[in-house]
Amino acid sequence: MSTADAKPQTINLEDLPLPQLHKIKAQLEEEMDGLTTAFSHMKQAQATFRECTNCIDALTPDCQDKTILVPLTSSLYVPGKLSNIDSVVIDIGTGYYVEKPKADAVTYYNSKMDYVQANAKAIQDTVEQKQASYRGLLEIMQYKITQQQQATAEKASASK
Amino acid sequence: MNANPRGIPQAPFVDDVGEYMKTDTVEATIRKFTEAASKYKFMENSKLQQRGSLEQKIPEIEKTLATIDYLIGQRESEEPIKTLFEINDTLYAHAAIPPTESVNLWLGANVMLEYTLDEAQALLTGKLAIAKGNLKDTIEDLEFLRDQITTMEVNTARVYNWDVKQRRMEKSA
Repeated sequence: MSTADAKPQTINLEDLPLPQLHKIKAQLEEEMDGLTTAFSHMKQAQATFRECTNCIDALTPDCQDKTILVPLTSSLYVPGKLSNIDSVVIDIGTGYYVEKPKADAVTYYNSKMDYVQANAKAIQDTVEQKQASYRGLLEIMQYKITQQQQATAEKASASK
Repeated sequence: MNANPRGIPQAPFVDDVGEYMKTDTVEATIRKFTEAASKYKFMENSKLQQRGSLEQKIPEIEKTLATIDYLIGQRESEEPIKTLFEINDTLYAHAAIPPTESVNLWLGANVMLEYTLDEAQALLTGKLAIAKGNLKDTIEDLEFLRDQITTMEVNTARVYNWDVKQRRMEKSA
């Protein structure tokens, strides 16, 4: 399905009737919306990962045993001490948590950022492609509409 | 007109439309009824939102209360509690919590207060009871409002039908 959508120009748009063109236009708009939402999610994910690396860097050696307010729930904080600043626990998804030393955790987040960046770039390229097809489609639709209007005008003047 | 416990007026059901219509024109009555129906609907929307937010808050309060109960149970032991706490979305770090008598509760609006364990437990138990009571009331109100909206819509339909019948009779007369 994706290869057929990637090259709509191989179907000759000029041959299609106007209602079909409307349908394709709506389809393209839907796809572009979906892709733009996905793109913004990727950007968000990237920002989160960057923040996580900053947090890990904030766990410096002189933080060891410092007193902090530990959040136990979203509204409950208890005074406690940072016990182990050499390792952190990362939620890697699907209910799995992994304990890693600080350096490895930073590497993990950086590699996730790169992966998301690559995906975001791919989405961006696809969106640009779709936008080009959409612009071409609009032009053809405009041409057809003017053609149709001319035809009805001619018919009206011919029947008088 | 009666009102339910929270002061929502009850919608009157028009039994005999002819009797009722002696006092007012059809347009004015229908307009009054549609207005009342839309007021009820507006109230229903706000009650729905209230119910949504209460249903979110209650599990949080229950979680916090359970944590406090656990801390109270632990307060006899000398050992610090080892735990992981959330620094960021997917990132957790180790912490050790020594047995403590005081906890801090985030009350919202940038306000955090320190309480002893027992005070916190009492406060949260009270809050939970109030929230649950509010939820029960809100659900009751929602059901009541649904009934009133239906009554008003039925009234409007009956007045309209009566009007159509009147006009038909006048035309044939």
